[in-house]
Amino acid sequence: MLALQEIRRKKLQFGLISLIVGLVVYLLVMISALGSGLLSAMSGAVNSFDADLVVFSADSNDSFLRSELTADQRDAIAEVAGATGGVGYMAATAQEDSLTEDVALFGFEPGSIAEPTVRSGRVLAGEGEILIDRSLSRSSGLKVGDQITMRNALIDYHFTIVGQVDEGEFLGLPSAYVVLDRWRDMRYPRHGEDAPAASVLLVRGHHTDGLGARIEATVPNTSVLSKSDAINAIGGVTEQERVVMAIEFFGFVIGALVIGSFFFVLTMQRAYEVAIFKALGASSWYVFGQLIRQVVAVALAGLALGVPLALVTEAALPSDIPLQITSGAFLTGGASITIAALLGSLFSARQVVRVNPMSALGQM
Amino acid sequence: MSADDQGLLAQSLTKVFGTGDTAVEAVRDVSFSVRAGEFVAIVGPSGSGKTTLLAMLGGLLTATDGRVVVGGSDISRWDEAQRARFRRERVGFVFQGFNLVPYLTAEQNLLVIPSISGKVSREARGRARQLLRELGVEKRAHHLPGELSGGERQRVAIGRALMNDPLLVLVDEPTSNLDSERGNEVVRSLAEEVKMRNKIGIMVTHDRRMLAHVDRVLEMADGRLQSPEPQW
Repeated sequence: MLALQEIRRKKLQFGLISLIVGLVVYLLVMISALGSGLLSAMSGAVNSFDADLVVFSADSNDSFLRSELTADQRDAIAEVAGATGGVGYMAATAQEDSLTEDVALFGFEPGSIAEPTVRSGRVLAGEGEILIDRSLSRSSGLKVGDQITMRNALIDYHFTIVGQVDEGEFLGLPSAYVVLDRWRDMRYPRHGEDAPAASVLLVRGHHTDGLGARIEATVPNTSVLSKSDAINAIGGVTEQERVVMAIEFFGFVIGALVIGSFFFVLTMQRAYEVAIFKALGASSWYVFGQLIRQVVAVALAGLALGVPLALVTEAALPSDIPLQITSGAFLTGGASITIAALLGSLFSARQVVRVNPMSALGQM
Repeated sequence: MSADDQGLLAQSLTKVFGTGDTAVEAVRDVSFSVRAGEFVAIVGPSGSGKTTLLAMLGGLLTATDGRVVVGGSDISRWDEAQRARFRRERVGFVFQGFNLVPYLTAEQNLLVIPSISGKVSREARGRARQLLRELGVEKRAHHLPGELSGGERQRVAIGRALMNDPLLVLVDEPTSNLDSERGNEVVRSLAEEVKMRNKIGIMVTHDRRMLAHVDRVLEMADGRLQSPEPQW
């Protein structure tokens, strides 16, 4: 009661601190959101795979770009693993009128676990049809019903866009999906029957413990990774995550110091009032408890300020900035602020303990 | 020298600040006793050790030597936590000057006492109301200290000192910020409260006009108690 009274009477002071806390929350949420946005631009399409394991060819160094699985390998894996789906990957260029757009083109077998979820339009029914990701329609303005041409190895392939998916980007490129046979034609234009059947194979299962090792043991030239390891194996993703984590760490440390200093100064400013409380017989715990209540109130006010600000920013920012506000971003921001506020009040706790109740007598 | 279980006994109290060459003996070998229901003034020039003595009696300072027995308990060797509890449960302080919490209303300043003891009960609220009424500041219950006159503030401070129904009421220079008429009024009401509620009342003052209201005067000079009953 008394702690909140103080906030009521010192609206400006606590308002400013809440504003600072709110801005720090905002900063941390935005950093986290940019981090996930960046990660999503690199690997969103892979993360959207409905799979537990990803099988690469062993000689590919676990790269989606270089991995090639033969039809024999595919069949052998399917025998061991159950639910599988072959995925083909290639970079292609979409052309339509004045539009030229690099695209991450995936091939999948309709009906397999590799099939992306169609958000609008319909699923693929033939080799002349294509699904485009939301990222591609956003960057190019293409929509369901439009025609596009993909060129590879001097051959043009014409497609009709029949549906839109929301799987994310890959290596910073917006993604598009065609049936696996068409991908195979495009990727290996003059292939015979011995051409690779897919780039990688997705595996889904309830009991994947040891399954990877079993596949690697029974099927020659395979390398099996969990989905998260497969994402980390994408060139640059691990480094990028480290950079983002370092930025988050510095943001947190500086935020904690700023918030901590504010509470420290606040506690110093009322050393006299603390002395009165202590002279009247309040324990340091009591005074500290009051402080904690204020810290919690300020932290909540800061969250109430910073979170909507982040949401407004997300809505206002142009779409080409990779910003992805996830619940994780809010969690990071919220948890950081709670920890920062606690650390800050620990600073102040020492100060509270040090206040000599004698100073309430106007002595010393 | 003795004190009954309800009284206060100070025995050979000494307080030394600092050590070695810089040591200052603020209070030297002070002994006296006060009965419950008695209102005693400690007078003396500034620097004579009055406030230091008061702080030792109220458990704000530990004595370097000697002991303080209040209501049968020797508080002189207690640690800070024990003394804090003693202050919160058995001592009522009226500090010098404007010592109310500035962001709390008059009533809330009284409720600080039950709050630091744990919980503000309905009874505590009733008691705060009643004290403010008795002290004639009921109408100012919801005003902040900054909105009160000096006399009203001092009354609220007295109300706060009585909130925990203390054994010991310690008053430090109650008139320093008041004109003599208001000062007189405040000290008279303090004396009445001490009598009526059977408290041990000890007031430090340099204002000799206030001595008409007390039962006994202890005079201090240079850290020592002069004659136990000085002649006026």
